Amino acid sequence: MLRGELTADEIVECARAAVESVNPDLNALTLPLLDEPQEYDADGCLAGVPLLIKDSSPFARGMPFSLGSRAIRGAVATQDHQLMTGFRSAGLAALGQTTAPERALPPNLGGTASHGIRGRWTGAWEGPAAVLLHWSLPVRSLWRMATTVRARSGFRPLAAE
Amino acid sequence: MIGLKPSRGRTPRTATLSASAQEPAVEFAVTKSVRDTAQLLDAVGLSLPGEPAWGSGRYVTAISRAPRRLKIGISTEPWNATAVDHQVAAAAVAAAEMLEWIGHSLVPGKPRLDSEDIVEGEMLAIYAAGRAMLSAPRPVDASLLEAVSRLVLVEASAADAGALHAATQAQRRITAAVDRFFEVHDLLVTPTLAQLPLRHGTLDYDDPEGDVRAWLRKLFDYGPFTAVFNVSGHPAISLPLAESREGLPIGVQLVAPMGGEDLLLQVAAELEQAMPWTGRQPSIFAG
Repeated sequence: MLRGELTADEIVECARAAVESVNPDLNALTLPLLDEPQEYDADGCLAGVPLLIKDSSPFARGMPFSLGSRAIRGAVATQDHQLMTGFRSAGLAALGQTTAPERALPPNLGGTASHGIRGRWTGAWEGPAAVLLHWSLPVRSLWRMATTVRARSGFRPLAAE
Repeated sequence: MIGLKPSRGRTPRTATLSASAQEPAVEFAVTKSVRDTAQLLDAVGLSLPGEPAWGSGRYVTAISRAPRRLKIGISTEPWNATAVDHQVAAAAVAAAEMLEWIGHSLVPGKPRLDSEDIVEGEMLAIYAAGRAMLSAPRPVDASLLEAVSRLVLVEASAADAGALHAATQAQRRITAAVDRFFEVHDLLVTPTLAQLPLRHGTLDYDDPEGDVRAWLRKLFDYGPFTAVFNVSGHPAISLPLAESREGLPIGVQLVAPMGGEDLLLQVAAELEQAMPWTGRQPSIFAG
């Protein structure tokens, strides 16, 4: 790092260490981080930049999801949302999943079904924001603007139950 | 943390409702720098209808240049009756004054619209979410849903073509009002939220009191400034430009005309340079 040169693998490992060091305080992940990042284009303009996907969107092939709801159990995305395909082409390395409020409808976590996210700066945003705020690396995690009331629709064609 | 909400149609969307209904949800990602946001939008952004296709690097190129001198509207008064925290309002004013100091011209003002149209426009998101649940491959066990989700299901089941039409018309009025504002302004500055970040559980999604619209109004008391542009579809960005005395983050929102992400990112880059946030770190932090 002191040379100003890093490989994608080194960045991913650095990101892993950083996320794992703050997650016990934040509880912002739905699952342990993946052993290997999901497939990405190594020639993309953001090749190897770590990404955490929110548990509401976009669906990523092979990633379990619950849309933050107790009513969805055991579902795994069988294909990418079009935006996720774009993220892969750009080179983003999906390393894990952050919590979402139910159906991404409320702007914050904390309902009975949602994961009990912690952290000092909470309330406005959810899991992805918590991780990003508390982390110095340029991770991108899925986001919609605070108070966005979000329409979720991709569940039907993607669910493999 | 920067959150760009791209123009409606800039990023791929999944339609649940009919083609004419423009659902408020937009997908993108949060980043820590304007350059990262620009680069990501270059990577995944689509051309809007009628917009010429452009070569790679449009937004990254845009932020390397200063924008022209802009006429920027500023408002810290929401469209509903909610009170804005004074630290939050002061942050938006400070950002606007910085833009004036940089050389832009500042005029007080905001789009003129009816706040009930915002609630009705957001009902499109409610209908879409409800229909997604109703058409799920396995019937949703409503007893496992949180209280407001159960209400969403009820609303969506009861919604007929007339309800959908009413919500679409409300949304069109909002979009038209914001378009009119941008006929005479280049940009709008507002607070991101009306209040400092709330503790979790303050907006209780599992509270069975009231109906969906009452719950939406409760949300708008907290975030009245962002909801408008979720409904209208205009691009908006929240920048982490301030911190409260208690150490809580305060966002400032910039809004641009439809398709104006290049302008939005140029001004965001000016503020990032003039009011940098990289030095602020939360107490829980891995560097």
